[in-house]
Amino acid sequence: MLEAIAQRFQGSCMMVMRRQGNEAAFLGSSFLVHSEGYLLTTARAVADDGDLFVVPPDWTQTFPAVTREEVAPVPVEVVARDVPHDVALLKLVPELDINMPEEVMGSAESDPRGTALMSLGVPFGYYRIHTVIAAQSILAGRITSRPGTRLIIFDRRVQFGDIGGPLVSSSGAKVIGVVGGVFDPVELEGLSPPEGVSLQSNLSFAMDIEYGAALLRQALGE
Amino acid sequence: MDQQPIEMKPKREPEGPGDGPDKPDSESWLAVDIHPWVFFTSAALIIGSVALTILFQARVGDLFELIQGAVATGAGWFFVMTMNIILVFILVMMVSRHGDIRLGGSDAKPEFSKLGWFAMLFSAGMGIGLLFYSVAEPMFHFSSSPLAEPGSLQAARKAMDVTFLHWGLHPWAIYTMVGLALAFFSFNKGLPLSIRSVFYPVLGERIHGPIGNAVDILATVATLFGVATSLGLGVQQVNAGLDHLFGIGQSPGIQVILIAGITALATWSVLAGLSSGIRRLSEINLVLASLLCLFVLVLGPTIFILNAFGENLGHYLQYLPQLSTWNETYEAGSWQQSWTVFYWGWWIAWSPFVGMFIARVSYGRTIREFILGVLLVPTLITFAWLTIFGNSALHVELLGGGGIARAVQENIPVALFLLLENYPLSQITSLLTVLVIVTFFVTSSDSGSMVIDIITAGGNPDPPKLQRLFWALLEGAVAAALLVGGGLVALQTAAITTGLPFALVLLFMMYSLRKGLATYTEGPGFSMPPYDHGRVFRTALSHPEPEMVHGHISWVGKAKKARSPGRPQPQEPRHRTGFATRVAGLFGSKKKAAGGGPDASGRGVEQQNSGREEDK
Repeated sequence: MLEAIAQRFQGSCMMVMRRQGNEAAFLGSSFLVHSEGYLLTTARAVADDGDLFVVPPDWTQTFPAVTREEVAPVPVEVVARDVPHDVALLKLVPELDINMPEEVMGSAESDPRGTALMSLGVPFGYYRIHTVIAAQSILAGRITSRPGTRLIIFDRRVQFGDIGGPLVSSSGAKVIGVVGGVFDPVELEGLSPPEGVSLQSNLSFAMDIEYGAALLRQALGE
Repeated sequence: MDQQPIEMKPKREPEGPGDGPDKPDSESWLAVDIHPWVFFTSAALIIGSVALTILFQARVGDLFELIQGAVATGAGWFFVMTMNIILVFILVMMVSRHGDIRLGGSDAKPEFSKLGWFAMLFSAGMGIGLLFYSVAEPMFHFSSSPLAEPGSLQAARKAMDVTFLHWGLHPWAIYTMVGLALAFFSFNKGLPLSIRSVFYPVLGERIHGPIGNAVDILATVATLFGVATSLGLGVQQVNAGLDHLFGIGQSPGIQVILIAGITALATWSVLAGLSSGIRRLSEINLVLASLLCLFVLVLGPTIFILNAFGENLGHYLQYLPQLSTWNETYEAGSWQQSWTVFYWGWWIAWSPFVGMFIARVSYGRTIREFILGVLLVPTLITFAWLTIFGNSALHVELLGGGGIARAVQENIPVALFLLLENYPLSQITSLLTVLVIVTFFVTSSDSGSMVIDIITAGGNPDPPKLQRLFWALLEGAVAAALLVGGGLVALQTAAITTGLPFALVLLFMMYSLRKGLATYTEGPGFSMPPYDHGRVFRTALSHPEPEMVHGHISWVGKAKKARSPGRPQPQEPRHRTGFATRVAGLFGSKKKAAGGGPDASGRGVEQQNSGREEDK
């Protein structure tokens, strides 16, 4: 099942980059959510407007080079940002004929703990390692942060470049979250851990996909 | 900023196999959607063959009997091997990783309820034959078989073993394989719902040429002859049953009237479509058949039947490897050829029809669900049926008044009615039997017409009504013409003779399906055409440096200036990216984030509309 999900979603995950001069700087991961060219990522990745573009993965080679020295940009604009929940909706500027499943986004509410998940992203994109990685985990739990953001906890430690990528449930093969980062109890509570006690977490969190779905519905005028 | 109330987009019903973009307007009576080569060649071959058979029925009959005899003698081992290979292949498919693939893509949802699906599978797959042979076949084996002394207890046990073999996993494995291949290549690969499509991985685009046309024409002609001759022969059996019940006599005139009635019902069913016609009739059929089973189970030797079911099942599983590979090699007889090989040829010849129908009604099932549903469930229902009727007949022979075994040798259809006479309310059960026979006939006839419609419409799963009418009427006309003019048995033998070439086709199909599944990517996936605006950028090193919180990296915090990772790389330009904004509402105190997040009213969402419209 996970193999099928990886194959299905591998084309959806794209690098978000910003043009700086004649160079492209990696900002994070993103993924397609609508055939009219809408993508989701984190609000923090695209905090500044302008010169944004995405780069689709290169599936032409089985063993591609570590770094893509040059990339052909597909310009995007930020349609909406939900800063408190850290989700942003992008739209491809050119109108492209995109083939994709009818409904990509699912619900984070119905899957029980232990459901197999798959997250996709470009974990080391900042370091010019431009490879989409599919990694498996399980749905470890759900939590609502103090300010009221619904988070999905999964048992894998993500990397910075993964942030903004999709978290896909094996049940129904739908995206249930936008990867947010490592779930750190110290940061969550703003507490200082007792001396000698390590609170390093191997868990990560994703923002409930509903925040992204709400942005998309508004953009589509539904 | 004012936001529109958030409303969920109404869920779109999944597209069924008949809802594709190329679907013709099948509601219009004048609409026609045919594959000219397949449609006209098949129609000409069918009409020509019927005319020739009626004119030269004795010679045609002799010719095909000779061919069938030669096939059974010389290629019996090949049939046996093919059937076993396909059964093993299907069982492996069921537990393999391919079992997760959903027919129609991962978003596909089944078109029919499980009950409706099972009803249609069972009605199309076994149909009328089971009604007669559930009593007749165990009786034949009980009276004369090389496996045990005739009339003995051992003969009774072996009779059920062999009957289970002939009606059990093997035929359903053939149907499963053909149905699976057709459904996969049509619903997941976007090819026409036609026999030719399953050869795409091997033949490529050549399936749309003469080879593909020939395969589809062979399937169409074999299906129509199979259904029409069964209708003709079956009507004689219905007539015999009605005569037994009401003494109406047996004549071609009565039989033609019966064919007209059954064809009219089947035509209505085909025109009404799958959901309203065939599915509803199949469900009625299943209810009536269940009622008949229940009657016999309750009024007959209940405990004997219940005991026998488990025992028959155990024996079947225990002796399956032995019986299914038995070729009568050391006995040097011909019993196995005239029974087992005949059955294998019969099931294989029917597999394009049944497989196509099964594929048509199985959209939205996973491959594992498909195999469980098509292989195991109908097999179990068949075994229950065979046990109820077969063991009741054996009970009469072993512990009752007997007489059924002798009657079967003379007249197969009357055997079932003779059995029912041994129990109370036999008039009611006999009438119910006639009703079940008729509904079985109609469901076989309508599903046969639908399959021919689909093939001759170039794989359109929902062909226009005018064509459905044509094939349903032609089927009845062929049956009536052969009944009156003679040649039913000759053409039926011809249809079974196609089993040998089709066995080769099945092995080829199995290879093709395996190849297609091995390279299949689940679901439609995502694809986007390359966007080449003539600009490329050189990628830059730009790793983030998040702030630290109590000695921990802040995953949602503000970035400091960028620095090179690990080892210095002065030649690489670096950029400060990411973590530019602290996401205060995600973690941290509620107070800190107050007024931040969007709720149902959408507060907190920044819309970036400025300039977009103007840009356009």
